[in-house]
Amino acid sequence: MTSPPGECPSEIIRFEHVNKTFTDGHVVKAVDDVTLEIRKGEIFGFIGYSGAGKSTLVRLINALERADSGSIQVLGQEVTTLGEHELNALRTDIGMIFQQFNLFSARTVIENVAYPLKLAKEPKAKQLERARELLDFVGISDKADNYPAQLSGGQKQRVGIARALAADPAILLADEATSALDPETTRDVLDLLRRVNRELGITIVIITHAMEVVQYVCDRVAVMEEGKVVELGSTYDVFSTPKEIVTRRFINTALHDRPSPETVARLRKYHPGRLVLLRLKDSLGSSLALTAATKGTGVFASIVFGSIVEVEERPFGSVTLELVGESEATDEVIRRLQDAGSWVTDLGTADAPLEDPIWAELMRHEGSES
Amino acid sequence: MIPLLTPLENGWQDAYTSYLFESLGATLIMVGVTLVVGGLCGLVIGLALFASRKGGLFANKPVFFTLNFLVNFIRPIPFIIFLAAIRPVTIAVTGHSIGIESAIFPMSIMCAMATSRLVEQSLVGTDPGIIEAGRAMGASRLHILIRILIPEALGPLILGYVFLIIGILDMSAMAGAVGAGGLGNFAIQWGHNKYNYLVVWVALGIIIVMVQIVQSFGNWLSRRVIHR
Repeated sequence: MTSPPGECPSEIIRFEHVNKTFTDGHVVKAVDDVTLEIRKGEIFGFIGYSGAGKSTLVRLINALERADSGSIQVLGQEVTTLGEHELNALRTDIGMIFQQFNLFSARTVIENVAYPLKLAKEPKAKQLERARELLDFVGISDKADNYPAQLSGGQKQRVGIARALAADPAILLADEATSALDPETTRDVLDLLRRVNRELGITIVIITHAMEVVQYVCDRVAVMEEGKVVELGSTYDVFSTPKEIVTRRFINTALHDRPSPETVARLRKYHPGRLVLLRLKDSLGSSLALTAATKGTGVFASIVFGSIVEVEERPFGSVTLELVGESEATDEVIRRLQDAGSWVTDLGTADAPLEDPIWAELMRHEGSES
Repeated sequence: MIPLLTPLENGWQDAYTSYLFESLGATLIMVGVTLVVGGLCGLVIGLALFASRKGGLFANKPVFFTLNFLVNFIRPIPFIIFLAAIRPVTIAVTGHSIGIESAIFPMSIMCAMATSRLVEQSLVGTDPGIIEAGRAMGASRLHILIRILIPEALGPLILGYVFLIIGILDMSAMAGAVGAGGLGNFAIQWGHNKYNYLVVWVALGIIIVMVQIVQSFGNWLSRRVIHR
């Protein structure tokens, strides 16, 4: 793969001011002035609600949809100006997997996997050898002679992945690839995608509406809303310092670490003391800061709510504490936590409750939408 | 004597047996040739209808409009009227005004029209995701249409063609009107016109057996290719 001089060598896909409007019936601006780059070797996620334009955006990469304007560079080629023939050649370098798997139902598993090689007119023996290798890699060698209808959803997606890898692509596009799968199977498929990325060095672009998927597997993420990329960054940064309300909503669905106003109300029944939300930062030992913060104040701190998960392989999440003690003493604890660099939200006590500003904003937004 | 049974007394004359085989042969030829010629033309028109439709692989409004109009125009015409209506064309093309050839020509046209709709419907019934998968793999549009979609739609296509054979048999019976012979003509000429129901029923029995064989074979074949 040669890239033109002056271009960042780590860049594998680049969108510049890309627009796409559908005028079928009513006008829908599916992609609105998108500029971003996807780096070689990363797992990049597009997250958004349905209709946010993420599916269209990713189809612009292999030109299943053509852009109205703007430039799209893929593997050093300007996709928007390619003719059908060159495009078909480029597409063999871009594998794709789908929500509904899109396997050929009339062909066996191994015939499905070998199909891209059949297209490339590889000798039959080589096709089968490579297909077997790939079935082995995705862990379903025993299903080679079955038909897709005989497989479970997870197995079908493994076949889809093996088929997408057959022609040795540099990029793999995953269009809601786990949306039709149960949580456990989703994990397995995401683990497999991670292996594809790490062991084969294939750049992966994932479209999803599930923040868990982003959290579990993506290095970087773009949040999309109404055709625009509203937030872009490393997954950890987006999780830890979300700027947009839509991003916060997605994070909430993935983490459930931040108690909703209803949850806080329920918590207060049993925990009338001062509730504080303490967000974990992996650069600081939050738990250690807690011990130091309560020392000598006579305040008793207990965890009443929270969730900590890994984001980009770093711990992330928050806990809600109940601080029981004199009001001045609990003030002191909060001050110490803040001084130590922790991110603290004071929810007050049952008698003098305080509102979580983030939840308040989310609720306001939801109220204004409905 | 019950009046209904009287005709049976006319009985089976020895000459009928050779007429019967002759007629059976004529029917098989008419059905066979129509199926191949009309079936293939219909396959091509059906593929073109499917591909040229809006959002199709080769979306093309004028082509789709023309084909769609043609098929919709010809297909509902009762065959016996169609036979008469295109007689001049038949004579010009085949050089015959009566006989098997003059029946096969209109039968093939009618068959192509019916087949095209069956093919179109079978293809519309395939999962659109299959096309997307093919395109994402870098397959050409023609490759997708012929090599990927036809195998995917093979089960319904086979059942469609079986359905068609029965329709062609029906048409071949009417072809007796242009002196094409065949089982239909046999049943009318030696049976109905001579009040000999035995002859009618023998012809009918043979047609039923033929239909059963074709349908069973079609069912068996489609089961073998459908893996859903």
